[in-house]
Amino acid sequence: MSFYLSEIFSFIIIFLSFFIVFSTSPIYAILFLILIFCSSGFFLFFFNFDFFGLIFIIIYVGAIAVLFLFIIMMLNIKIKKDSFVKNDNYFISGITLFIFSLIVGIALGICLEFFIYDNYLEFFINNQSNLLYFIDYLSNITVFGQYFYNFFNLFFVLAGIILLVALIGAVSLTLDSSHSDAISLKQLEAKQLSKSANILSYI
Amino acid sequence: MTFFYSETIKIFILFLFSIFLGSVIILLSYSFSTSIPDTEKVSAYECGFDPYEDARNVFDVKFYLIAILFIAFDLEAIYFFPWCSCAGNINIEGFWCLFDFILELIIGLLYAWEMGSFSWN
Repeated sequence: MSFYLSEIFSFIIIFLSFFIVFSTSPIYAILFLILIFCSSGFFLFFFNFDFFGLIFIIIYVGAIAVLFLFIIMMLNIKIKKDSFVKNDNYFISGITLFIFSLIVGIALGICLEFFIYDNYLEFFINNQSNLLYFIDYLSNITVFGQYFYNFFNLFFVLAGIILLVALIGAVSLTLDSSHSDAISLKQLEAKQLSKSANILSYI
Repeated sequence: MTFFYSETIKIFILFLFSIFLGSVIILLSYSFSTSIPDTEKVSAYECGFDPYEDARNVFDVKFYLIAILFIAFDLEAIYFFPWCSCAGNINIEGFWCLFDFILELIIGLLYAWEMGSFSWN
């Protein structure tokens, strides 16, 4: 049952990506993107990646989509009732549609070949292999933690440094210290009086 | 049915039941309520005038900064969960590298605090 559910979710993701590309309003595109993140989280859940599926939803829906929403708020969108998108340039749109459908077709072909010709299904149906889950079962988060913190702890420290650099960069870009400083906002008489037409006073 | 699905099928049933219950409530309240739509009722109302201004306004960049800070600390918090789930099974380097991670997190937090990104003055 779970195998077919993962197939259904993969088709849902492909259809939602079509909706993202062909929706005229960017607000609806963002909503479909959030739906894609949720459904890909569920998609990972059906392949026993429970921790990564939940992380997908937490990071992408909870954090990254907020940034997309801020970008949407910055855009100057005027939705008028009688102005649909008139695309006169059929050549470029045709080429784009062709390339997009080619990519989707190749991806679908790879998926179908994987689903049909591999003996993947028989492995899941076989009850003897499921016995291993009952005897020695480690959850996804435990396997990831043991593997990551035993063998890749240097990369973990590096990830911390990268996050620190990103945090410092965001703070220093958005907060200009000359504006937040209360002294610079005051009216300084001596500074105003010193300004004259003489160019030497600016140096 | 593997062990994994036998445990998580309960969550899936709960999820399906919540979708079912929500759709039933919405459909019943939509069908049983009396709705007489009118052009004056449906149109947007702003103190008797037609809305002449766009709802999108210029907002402070500090909202964006709060969102970015949330992403950074969110990612750092997610790294704690696998460490906590297997703290007894990892070696001494993996044990202490989390403390270095927390130290970097504290440095970033103090920097953001010192620059005044949490204050709205």
